[in-house]
Amino acid sequence: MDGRVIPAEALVRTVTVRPESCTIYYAADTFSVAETFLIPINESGAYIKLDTETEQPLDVEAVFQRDFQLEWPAGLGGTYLNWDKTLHAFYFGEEQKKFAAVVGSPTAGEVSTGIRNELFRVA
Amino acid sequence: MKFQQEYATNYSESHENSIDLGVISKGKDSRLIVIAASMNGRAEAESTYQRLLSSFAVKEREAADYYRSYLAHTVRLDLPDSQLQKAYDWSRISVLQGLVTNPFLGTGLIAGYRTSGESQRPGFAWFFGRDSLWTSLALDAEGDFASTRISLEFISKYQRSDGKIPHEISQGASFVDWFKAYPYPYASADATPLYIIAMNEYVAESGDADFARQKWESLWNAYQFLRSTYDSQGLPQNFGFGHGWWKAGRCCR
Repeated sequence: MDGRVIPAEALVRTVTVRPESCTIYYAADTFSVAETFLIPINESGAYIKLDTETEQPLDVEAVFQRDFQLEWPAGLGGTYLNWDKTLHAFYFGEEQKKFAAVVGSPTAGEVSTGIRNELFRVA
Repeated sequence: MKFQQEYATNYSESHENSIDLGVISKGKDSRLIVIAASMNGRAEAESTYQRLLSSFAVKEREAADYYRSYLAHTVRLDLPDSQLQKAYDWSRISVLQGLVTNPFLGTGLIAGYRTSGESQRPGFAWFFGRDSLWTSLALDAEGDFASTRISLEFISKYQRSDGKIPHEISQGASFVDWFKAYPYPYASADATPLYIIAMNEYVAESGDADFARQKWESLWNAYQFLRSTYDSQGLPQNFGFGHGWWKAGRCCR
């Protein structure tokens, strides 16, 4: 907002838990967001819905750590992700082409795939 | 805060990714993130993704109806204390949410969704013998005999050839030599007697004696295994681990 990045976790006000979903409510001076997590019945998937009300233009960015692996003690070896422009989603895959996942949004625009441009870094 | 990251390659890659969901102008608007997965390849994952994209409201209603129906069809209590009422109703929901289908192993009861130790690994979301068998007594009490039967069927499927009932079955058990190469699958002492107790309780409460007949050989093998562990005083021993083998908690250390 106004060129500022506001981490959501600093704005949590309430958490509402229902049998089918839970909602985290974030509020700031000029906007509020209700973030609902829903696991549908008998589907291998999940939703995150952001219901937003704002007084000023608000750009919402979802940041995540990718961890596409089988749980210990199993493992998939190397995995990868690609951005699929048609789906507006990240595709997660592995070399056997068996385990797959798609994470995206119909409104998704610019993405960060994790590949950094700089080749030389000094810690 | 200093952040250090190991570089295993000669290029720089972060494990952090992001999606810009777009600018919301003044007023109200919604954004939706959909996650879909498959163990049968990309086409199935994409198909699930597309189906979920167009059906949030339907799926939300279905899920709410599913739990509402469950609460209506299991034993309801009207309690004078609102906190007790919530605890009882939520416990029915929580137990039901522990019924998990693993496409490679089957459907059974996990022990919960808490992480294991200090890690982020959801280690209790595995199939456990003792936990599922104790939980089956609660399922009987609330009248959910179908889930008890599913749970007993699952755990008996992985009974060891000498009759011992499994302690824990990893979600990844089908991808590794879980039952022979790891020490955990048959570690605990109590899963075997609990299996016999839980089956007895299920049959007594539900009247489903046919299930006990189907499982008679399994039950008899479990009983024979239990007897084979008795010491001179008639107390069962847990060979290889000790009968005080613990999983978590301070009380047993």
